[in-house]
Amino acid sequence: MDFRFLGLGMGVIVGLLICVVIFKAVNKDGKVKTKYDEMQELQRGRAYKYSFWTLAGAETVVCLLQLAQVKLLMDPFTANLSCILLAALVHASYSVNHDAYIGLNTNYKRFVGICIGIGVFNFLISMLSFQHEGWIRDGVLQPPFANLLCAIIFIIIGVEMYIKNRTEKNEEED
Amino acid sequence: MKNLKLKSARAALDLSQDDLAKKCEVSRQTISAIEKGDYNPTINLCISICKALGKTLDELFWE
Repeated sequence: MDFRFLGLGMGVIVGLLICVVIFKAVNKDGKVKTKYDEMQELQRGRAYKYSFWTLAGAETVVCLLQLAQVKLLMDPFTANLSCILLAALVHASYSVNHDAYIGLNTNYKRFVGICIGIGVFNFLISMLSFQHEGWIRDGVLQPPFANLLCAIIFIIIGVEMYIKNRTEKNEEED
Repeated sequence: MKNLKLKSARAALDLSQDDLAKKCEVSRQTISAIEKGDYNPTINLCISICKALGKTLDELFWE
């Protein structure tokens, strides 16, 4: 048995369990599923559409560059992960800007707190790996660079949510 | 096109957008979008809003 794959499998299971715990903590009713109203579902559907095309486009570019044997600045794992993170950013940004990111049963403060926590955690991991082995090996960016990307994405989402929140507060309701 | 009928019916009952949103189990932003004319609600939500405000579909959503 390949223990590397066993380790990866365990890592995925632990990651999923952490996601379940986070969702339960973020939702006011303690449920894993976040509830959205009909307008939010519609906007999230559009967000998924744009995110899908972003992922397809980015992966196509990576594949074509690999086919053309152009030396990428990232190793294949980091390049693919970056495409996924870019698509996730598109989805999140669109949802935030169209009031569809925060669900009906979401605790806003806890949600923001967890986002900040994940961002800081990824930033620290990327800094630690930078100190130990650096992000670049053999002239290409290594997987720990993806942690920095993840941290940057959470910062962008956080700033967008802050701006959106401020805009809504300034907007006179009636 | 703005839905001023909905806005005035809500204001007549002294309800905020948030109050109406809670009654209809939607987000405040959805009510705001309907009032601004940025979103066309489904018939189910229209009925829910009408029930919450004690109005008919014609009174709130018919031109």
